[in-house]
Amino acid sequence: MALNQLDKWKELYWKAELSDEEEGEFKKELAAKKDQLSGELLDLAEWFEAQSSTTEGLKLDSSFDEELMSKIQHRSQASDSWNWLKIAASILIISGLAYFSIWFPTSDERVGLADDKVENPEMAYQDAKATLKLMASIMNDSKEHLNSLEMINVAQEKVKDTFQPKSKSKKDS
Amino acid sequence: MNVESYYKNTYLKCKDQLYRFSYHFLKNEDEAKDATQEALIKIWDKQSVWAEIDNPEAWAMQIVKNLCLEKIRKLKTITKHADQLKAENIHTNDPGRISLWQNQWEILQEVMGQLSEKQKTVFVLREVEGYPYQEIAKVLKITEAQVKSDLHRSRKFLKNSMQKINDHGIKSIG
Repeated sequence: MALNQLDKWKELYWKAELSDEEEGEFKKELAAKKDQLSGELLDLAEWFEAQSSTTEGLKLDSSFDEELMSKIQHRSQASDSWNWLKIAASILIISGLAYFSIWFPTSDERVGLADDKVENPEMAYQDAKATLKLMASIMNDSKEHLNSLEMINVAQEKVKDTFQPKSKSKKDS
Repeated sequence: MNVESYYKNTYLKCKDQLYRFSYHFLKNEDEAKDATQEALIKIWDKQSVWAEIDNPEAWAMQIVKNLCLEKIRKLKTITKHADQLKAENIHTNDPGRISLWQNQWEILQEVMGQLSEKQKTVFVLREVEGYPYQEIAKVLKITEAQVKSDLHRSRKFLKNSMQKINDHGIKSIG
């Protein structure tokens, strides 16, 4: 390609009027004829060369892939275990609700339980009376044992009498 | 093909384009790497929409672009590091090539600094990645005419920046 044609394309390049193919061709021609160029054409040739070096220089190595994939796998595992936790919690709630719905008495059953009566009221009365008597006798026994605690008060008085005169005499002196 | 193979062959293979794109926006290798990783994880999480995607590469680019813009808005801590670029990306001791890199980075910064986010995207996709007009239009959901108009504007700045650098005698390619 002649240099005057390159000049024409340069103007079209600045205006962004070259097609994709023409621009590719323009870059190739500039690279091939770099030694013959000057001024803006040389600037552009160097600009394109530097851009292509940038593309070559700025790359990520395979360690990036490994790091990324391990992060992704870790995230997937974490979300899997979280899903299992959610399932386990749901099962617990459902079984809890099922248990209560089966074993917990319904309102009708609760009314029935409240109306329940013993078969022999006289026997029940005798049982209750005997239980209350037993409780009363145990309480009386316990009260007698508590009377022995009065000894503490007696001992306390004796201790007071023994030590108070001494402390008084100290104050007086 | 299972999900993982599809993901690797379709999306993970675009990692370098995504990384370069992020790098030109975030101007920091680590942040660009993080943005690329984040975008690829986001893509993995959106498995339910994979079947509806016509152009996976353009879609991935769209995701990384949004992430970069979000990061820029949030952090606003873009640091200029021409030295880092120079030190880490030049695998040559040829002073001519080093100068070429420095000039290119300076020009790029000068041009990018004058562009809107949309124009920056058009510029990087065309000048760095060499995307066809149609693809850029798809990524940005604009018409090809708009792409060309944005590119025209960007190249005007590019032309001026090159001129400025030449006038100030910064260029020193042997």
